[in-house]
Amino acid sequence: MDAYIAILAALGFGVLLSGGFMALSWFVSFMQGQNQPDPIKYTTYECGIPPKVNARQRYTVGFYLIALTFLIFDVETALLYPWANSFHKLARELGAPILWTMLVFTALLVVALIYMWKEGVLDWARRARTQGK
Amino acid sequence: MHSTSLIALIPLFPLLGVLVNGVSVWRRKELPRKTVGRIAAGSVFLSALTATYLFVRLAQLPDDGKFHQVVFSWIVAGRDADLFSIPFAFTFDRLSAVMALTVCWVGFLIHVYSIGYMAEDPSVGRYFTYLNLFMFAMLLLVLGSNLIVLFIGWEGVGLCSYLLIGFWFEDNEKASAGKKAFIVNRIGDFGFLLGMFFLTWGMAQVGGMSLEYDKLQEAILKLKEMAVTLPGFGTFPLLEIVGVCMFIGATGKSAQIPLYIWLPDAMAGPTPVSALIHAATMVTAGVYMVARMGFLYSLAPFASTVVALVGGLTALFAATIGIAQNDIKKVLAYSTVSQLGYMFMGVGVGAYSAGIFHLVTHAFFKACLFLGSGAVIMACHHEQDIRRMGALWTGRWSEKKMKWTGLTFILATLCIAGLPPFSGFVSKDEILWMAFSTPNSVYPTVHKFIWGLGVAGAFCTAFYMTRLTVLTFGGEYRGGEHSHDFHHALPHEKVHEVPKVMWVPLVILMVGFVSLGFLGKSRIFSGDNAFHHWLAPVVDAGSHEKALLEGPAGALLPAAGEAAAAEDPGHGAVAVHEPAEAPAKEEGGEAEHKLEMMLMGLSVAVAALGVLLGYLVYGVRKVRPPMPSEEKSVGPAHKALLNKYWVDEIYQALIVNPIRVASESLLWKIFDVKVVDGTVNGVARTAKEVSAEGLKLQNGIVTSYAFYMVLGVAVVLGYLILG
Amino acid sequence: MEGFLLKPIAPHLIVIAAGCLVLLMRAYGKKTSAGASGAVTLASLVLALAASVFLHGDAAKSAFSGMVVDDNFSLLVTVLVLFSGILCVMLSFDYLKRIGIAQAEFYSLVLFAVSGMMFLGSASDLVTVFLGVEIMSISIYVLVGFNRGRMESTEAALKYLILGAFASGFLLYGIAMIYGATGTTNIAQVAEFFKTHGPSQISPLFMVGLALLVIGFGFKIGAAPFHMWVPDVYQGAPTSITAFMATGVKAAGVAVVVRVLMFAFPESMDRWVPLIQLLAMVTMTVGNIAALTQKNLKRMLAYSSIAHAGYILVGLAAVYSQGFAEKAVSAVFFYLLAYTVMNIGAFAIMILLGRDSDEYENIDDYKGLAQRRPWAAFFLALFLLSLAGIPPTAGFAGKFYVFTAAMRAGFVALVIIGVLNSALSAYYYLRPLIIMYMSDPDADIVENTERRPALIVAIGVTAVLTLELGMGLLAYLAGGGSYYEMISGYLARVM
Repeated sequence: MDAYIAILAALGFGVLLSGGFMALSWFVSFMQGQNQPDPIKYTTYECGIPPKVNARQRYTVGFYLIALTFLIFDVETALLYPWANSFHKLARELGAPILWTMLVFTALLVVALIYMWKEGVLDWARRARTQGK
Repeated sequence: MHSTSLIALIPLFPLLGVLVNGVSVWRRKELPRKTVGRIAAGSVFLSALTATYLFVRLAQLPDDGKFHQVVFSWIVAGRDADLFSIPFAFTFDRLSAVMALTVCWVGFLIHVYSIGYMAEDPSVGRYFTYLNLFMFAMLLLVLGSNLIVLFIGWEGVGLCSYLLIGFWFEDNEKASAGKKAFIVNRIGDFGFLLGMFFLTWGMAQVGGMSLEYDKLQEAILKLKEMAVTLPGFGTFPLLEIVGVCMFIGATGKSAQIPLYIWLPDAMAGPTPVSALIHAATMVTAGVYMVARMGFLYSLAPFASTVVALVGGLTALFAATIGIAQNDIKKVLAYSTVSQLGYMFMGVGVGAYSAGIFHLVTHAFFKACLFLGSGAVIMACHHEQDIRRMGALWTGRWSEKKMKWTGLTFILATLCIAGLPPFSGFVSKDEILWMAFSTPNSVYPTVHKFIWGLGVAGAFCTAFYMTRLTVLTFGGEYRGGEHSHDFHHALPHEKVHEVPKVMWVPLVILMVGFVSLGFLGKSRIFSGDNAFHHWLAPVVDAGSHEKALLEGPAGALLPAAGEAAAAEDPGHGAVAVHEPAEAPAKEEGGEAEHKLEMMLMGLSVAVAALGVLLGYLVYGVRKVRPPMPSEEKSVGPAHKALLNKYWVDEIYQALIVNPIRVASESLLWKIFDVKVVDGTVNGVARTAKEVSAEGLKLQNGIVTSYAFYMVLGVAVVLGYLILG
Repeated sequence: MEGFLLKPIAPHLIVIAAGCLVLLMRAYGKKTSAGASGAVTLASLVLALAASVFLHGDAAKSAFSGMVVDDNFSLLVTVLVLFSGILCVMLSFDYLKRIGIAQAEFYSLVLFAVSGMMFLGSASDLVTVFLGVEIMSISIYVLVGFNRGRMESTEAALKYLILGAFASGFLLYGIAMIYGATGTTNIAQVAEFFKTHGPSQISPLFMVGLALLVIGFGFKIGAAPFHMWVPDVYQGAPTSITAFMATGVKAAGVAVVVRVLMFAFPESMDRWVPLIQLLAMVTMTVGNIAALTQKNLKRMLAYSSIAHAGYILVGLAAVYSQGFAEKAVSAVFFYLLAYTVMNIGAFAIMILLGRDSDEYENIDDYKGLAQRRPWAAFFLALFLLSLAGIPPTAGFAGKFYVFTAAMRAGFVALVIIGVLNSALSAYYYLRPLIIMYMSDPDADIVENTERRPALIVAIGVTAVLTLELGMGLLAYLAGGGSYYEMISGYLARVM
């Protein structure tokens, strides 16, 4: 059971820390500011521009697709960079496979890209046109 | 042991007949009536030919030769030392050969006869299908090489018996007779099953899980050492238990006390069926089984005594009932029960070949009698009451109404009555002599008593058979009278002989039962019993083992040694083992021979007396049995016989009614409805309610699903960390 | 690094390449019919099956620095999931057209899901396990919601996605814990760690990790209490995908549980076997009891799938029997195979009868089916009897092996509960039979009567196998060679 005390302690520390920050900020604002509510203060903060509509509205799926695409290629970069960085060392140890396994990986992404392209995911203008109609 | 693939053909032919006729009945495309009969009879004929061919080949083999055929491996369970394997296998040794020949040839004749007898019946296709199915089952029974195959046949003939007794099922009484036969048989079969279970258990203990006859015989000495403890009853030798249990099965199938009651009722079926099933073949299954398991029974003296005693009692008991019956078929039915009793008497005292010999001769003369009775019934336009018959065989040859039927019937009567030189005399006398001369090792004097029963039964048999024959064929014709007992009359002129297809089989059967007697010729005439020699290697195999076993202690049972020596001179194992005593036995044999002659004279005298008395009473004095209206005023003894000792009524009152009442009020209305149904329905209802309630958790909301998962997580974590 | 590096994953690559090909076919040939993609899919799956069998050598080969391994265990899993995939595709051909979702993407997703399952089978590292789970799951999430026009389908996909992500979190966290406790994620090295350091090293950290892994896998195979998603998702998904999930996903999930628990944590068996036993009891009981009152055949089969997961867990617990672990695992594999054929068979009959967009899932629709479609009724009866575990079917043989294994391990109570459950299950399996055979048909029910060869072939194959596997039990009892012994012969070399 003793070993669990460490885990419990870590958990307690986490709770204390997060709770502490909350308590601290709340305490500081309580000490510093005055409570003078008015309607403007209760509106949603949108970079200083007053919101026009309710936040829960539907976006075109294109946004998500773009976001996903970005994410995939972002991760690819994250993988490619360390790979490229240590390429010589890896190649010495593992030989040619280290090159073409990465080629397979990129090929898979290329296939995905082609598919997206052909499906019109990247064709923002057309999407906008069809949406507009 | 020789293997052959021909044995399977013997039961296969009738099975093909079943398929052809059965399919045509089932598809409602009835074949022409003649074709149906020819297919059925032809298939049995082919079986008979095959059996005969194998028989000839078997005769060329050495004494203990046999054919064996494994058709397929049927039941296999366990492995290695625990292997329990039942092959679907046939064996054709000397015993099965005798049985197969009898069954096939008698069966064939009865099939031929049926073509004539059933010529007018609308469901002739169904009839021959059942008849062939019966042949198939019976041949499985006699040819199987293990108890399980025998048991299929055993149950199969029971089924066919049920189907055929209730063949005219529109008549409620006939349908009930079929049910009665089936249920009584099933009671016996339960005993048989128990016997097999005990035997299997015993075989498992000695390390050879098998029910093959060969294997059983090999292990029999080991099995003899085993005992079974029945809680509450005590400990008994295994073989005795098995012997008694299997004999219970035999009492059901072969109509012995106390389970004989179905056979007289079985006469509800068509007469050829009575001849085939209830006289010649199926009912002999029990005798065959005991002979087949002879190696077991000869090591189970108590069980053997039970067999012999029950056989003797049945022989007398049924014979007395036969005296007062007025239905021609009922008389024959009781005579069958009685004759089966003789067979059991024979196998019970260890004279297996004598028992089987009587089985064979009986098959012929009883088939002849039954078929003859069928002919008479047909000739008299479905009249079965002997009080309404008479004068069917009187006058000069050309004036006789039923020339051939009458002749064969009368000869068969003399045969069953036990008059020389007919085979019935030879075989019955053999049994009586063996019963008299084989001392019982369990109860010292019981064998004399059994013999006495047999002799008394023989007298009754001679008497009632004469009565039957004289009333039917002699005297004056009584069917033309109107009375308040019988409303319809049949003029004497309308009585006529049956067609050739029916009386020719009768003549052939007659030739059979006349000539068979010379086959098993008593050793008094020639000193050589061909039938006994033929069967000895198979059925007396156990006796050798018994002799080996009891050899050192032979002094305890000197008479047994004598019997064996007398029964089989120069072949007896005891004589070989104790040469010093041999001369004494020679002398004993001399004295015994005289005794045997005397007893034979006695039994001939008894039979002759019975016949004479019957002829005097019914032929000369012309005593007529009481009419239905007079039956109330007969004396008490006659009344008891007329009512068959009220055995059916006693069973009804003591067994059937209590069971029915208990089943209805207790088992059905309380136990079944309230307890069983209540529990089952209650459990089912509870489960459904739990299901319905539990499913409320399945509310379709993802968050609550996630919540249950978290609960599960808590349980799993808690279990792994704390547990 | 001996031999051809990619050889151990060649079948996987075939499947993935086919998935890409189908996508490209879709991208470049808009007019290419979905049927052509289906044919390519089927061909590639068969090819992969052949490759997995023929490229397989007796010696275990690992690749990618011990991330994947090609051994007899992985071969069995691969064959099983490919078989399931092939049947699923055969079920889909006409079904997709009928309900109007015949698109090539469907097949490529099936292929990717299959590849994920195959990776689960040949994973020899916890990271590969996680990758496999995700490849499989993400494809399945989409497939479940593939029938976008149908609200239940979308709802099912959403539920599965949310709860699946939740479960994946547990799984990943568990892997992290194991890594923390042992310093490695390689399955062989984890086992080695405990072997060298002894049971004293079974730390709380490790136990928590083990618990989280069991939770994650338990979700994937639909074990109670992580089963809540199963009925909703199975019911909402397109029927062929339901069949695929119930068989392929479950097989892969069970395989990976065996792989991880048996290969990585044999030393802590004392701890996790009782847990598996508990899960088995709860899962069987919950599945069967809930199925009792179902009026929808598809949903009933979903609950029955939970119950069957319970029986499989019984076999899994039976690895506890010393020296007979491979027998228990063989029983599990046999059960999975049997369940695959009989379950897919039952779903195939549903697909066979459904007309237009009607799923034909209401039990009352089957009234008097025996009169209208005697063969369909007969086969459905066969599959249901097999699911109920009635001899001589595969279901009975499977239960026989599983329960025998559990008896060998000494888990009498578990077996009794299993058998009682089996008896309980007869109620809901036999009810459709009664409805099919003993009631008169409603006049307004009309089934599909088109000719669909692929579907018929699938039904035929599953029916024959249902009987054949069941008959194999006779061979086993008689001491001859049976499928079960074949499987345990394979496994004996790796366990």
